[in-house]
Amino acid sequence: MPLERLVTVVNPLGLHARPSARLVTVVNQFKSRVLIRRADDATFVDAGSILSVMFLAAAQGASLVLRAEGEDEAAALAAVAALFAEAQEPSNVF
Amino acid sequence: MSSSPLTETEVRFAGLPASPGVGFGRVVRLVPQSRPPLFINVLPHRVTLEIERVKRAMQKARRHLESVKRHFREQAGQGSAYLLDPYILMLDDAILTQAIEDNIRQRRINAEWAVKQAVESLLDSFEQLQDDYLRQRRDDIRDVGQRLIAMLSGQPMRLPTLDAPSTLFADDILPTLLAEMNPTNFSGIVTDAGGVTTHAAIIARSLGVPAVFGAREALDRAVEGAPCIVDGSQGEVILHPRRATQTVYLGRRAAEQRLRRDGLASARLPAVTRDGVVCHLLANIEIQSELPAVERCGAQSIGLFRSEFILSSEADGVPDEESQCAAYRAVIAASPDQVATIRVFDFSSDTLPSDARVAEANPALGLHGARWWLANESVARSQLRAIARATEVGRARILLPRVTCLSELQAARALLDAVCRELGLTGAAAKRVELGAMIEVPAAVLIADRLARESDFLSIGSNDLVQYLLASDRGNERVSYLQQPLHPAVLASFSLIVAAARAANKSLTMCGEMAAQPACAFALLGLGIRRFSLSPAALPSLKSALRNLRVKDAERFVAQALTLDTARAVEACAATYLDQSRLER
Repeated sequence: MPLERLVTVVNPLGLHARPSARLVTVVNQFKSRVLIRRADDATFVDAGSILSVMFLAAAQGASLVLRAEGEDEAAALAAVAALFAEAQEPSNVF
Repeated sequence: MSSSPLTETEVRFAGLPASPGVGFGRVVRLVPQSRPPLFINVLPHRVTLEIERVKRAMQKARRHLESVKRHFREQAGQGSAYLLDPYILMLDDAILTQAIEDNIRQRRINAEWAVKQAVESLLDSFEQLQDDYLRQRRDDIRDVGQRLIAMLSGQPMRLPTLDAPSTLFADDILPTLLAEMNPTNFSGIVTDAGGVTTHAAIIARSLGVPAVFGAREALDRAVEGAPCIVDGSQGEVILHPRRATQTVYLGRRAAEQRLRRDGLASARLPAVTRDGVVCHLLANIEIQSELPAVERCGAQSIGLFRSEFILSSEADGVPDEESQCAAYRAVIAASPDQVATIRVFDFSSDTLPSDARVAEANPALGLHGARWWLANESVARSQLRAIARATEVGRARILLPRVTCLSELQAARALLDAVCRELGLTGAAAKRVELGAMIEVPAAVLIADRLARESDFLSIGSNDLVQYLLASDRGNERVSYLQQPLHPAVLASFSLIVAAARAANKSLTMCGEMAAQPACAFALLGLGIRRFSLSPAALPSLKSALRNLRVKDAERFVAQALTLDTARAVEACAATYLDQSRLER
């Protein structure tokens, strides 16, 4: 059974190039397949593709659904969700 | 640097201030070396070979960018190196690789053309996005595409070698190419295209290289080897500068370097004078990417957001209410106290978006500031709606620029009230939106008491006020000696404004860079100003200056200064006081 979790983008500038890059880097550290979609759109895209993540055009306040499936799915989901919890960190440029 | 004043005249032009600092160097023109890719149909058995070529090129480009990242980390520090991650990840991205492969397989075309097509269709998809910031990331995809094509064609992009201080002139610059540059001898960069929020601008700022972007026809005007000054703080480019100009800019460069050396050490300390008077330091900002610097530089709030700068990232025209609202929300949310002073669009006939530009003989005395804004009611209305809606994340102080008559303030108030009613903002919610007048026209100084009565707060725009009071254009070098912020007329004006704000019990903020000069900060303190809004970079040194001053001394100085006859006399008097207090320490 794949695991899912709902997260919210808190970065004032949204999920842009740098946060997207971090997200993709973290996703690719796990064996599980991680997917992501906008809560208002049923189509999942590959969270390991920076272009897919950028195309979500997730602005501040956007709700996103994460889905992980694979041997380390719980760890993968926790790691990715933690990125959102840490407020996509106070980046100094993006 | 020597110029040849007999043969070459000084040429000045302006662009967007993309990376601060002043640089002196000679022009190096960067013209694209690689030819556009050729379209070739390939035979069926070549298809797999072309796909192999693409894979190898991607791998090579990725390895190359990894090395650029290492180089950039050495130059700009660990904190900036991640800027290259999106490019590296794109060169590994399934969507891009798949699109290129499909092109080759289905259309039997060569790798170069397949890359070109795939990049173009991605760019089209980006064009559809609602989000302005993301739409600007087109440059990044274009960058990756150009790198790939260069790798495929076996002509890797070559960097100019800079043997002496040099300023690069280009039509546009790839962000990753900029990251590859060595900052030694790199005195500046000027481009025809580009904006202040592009990755190239961010990279230039990380490298500390002064940059002016969006300077139209810059490449055409620049002759290889011509001496040049780039002022990335003001957005100015000067070719063949005269001796006098060089002196002015050498001074500016020294001041900027001093500021950087002083560092941010004092940013965390409270802004309290030696005799315990609390001051408030706020930040002037123009673009959203400056937001993180606000807190880092020790600002407690955003004292001036120049909203017309959200237009420079737009192709043309005023952005719609939704995108404006998102921008204002980001500004308010990023302000340390969730309060932002947002100045409504301040245009004059020569700074309007190109489609609306009109010719006026004298733009500084024409339909500008509040006049233009009130004359364009639909623009004003949607801006007010956007700001009012953005206050769900905090509070907004709406600032009306270049107010001349009380009736302008009243008209703006009526419009704001109407918008609040429309949006159902009443009671406490309506109180989150305040309205204030910016005092920068001499007439406004003389009716400051009336303006204070009907404003929720007042701000002084010192740059324009000095310019209008002394009837001299700060961009005109022949009268630049008249930029005298300590002119007795300026001091007397400030004194009137402070009195008006005090009598009406309204907050007063000084917006402008003059407070960055110690003598001016001393005078403003003595005049009774306690709220200062400056560019974030100027705040740390202002704070350390304020912490070394005493209000008691400043008031004694001002009492004397108001009786003096000339700016020079005031400056000399300030110097005496400041020397004295230095000796006491």
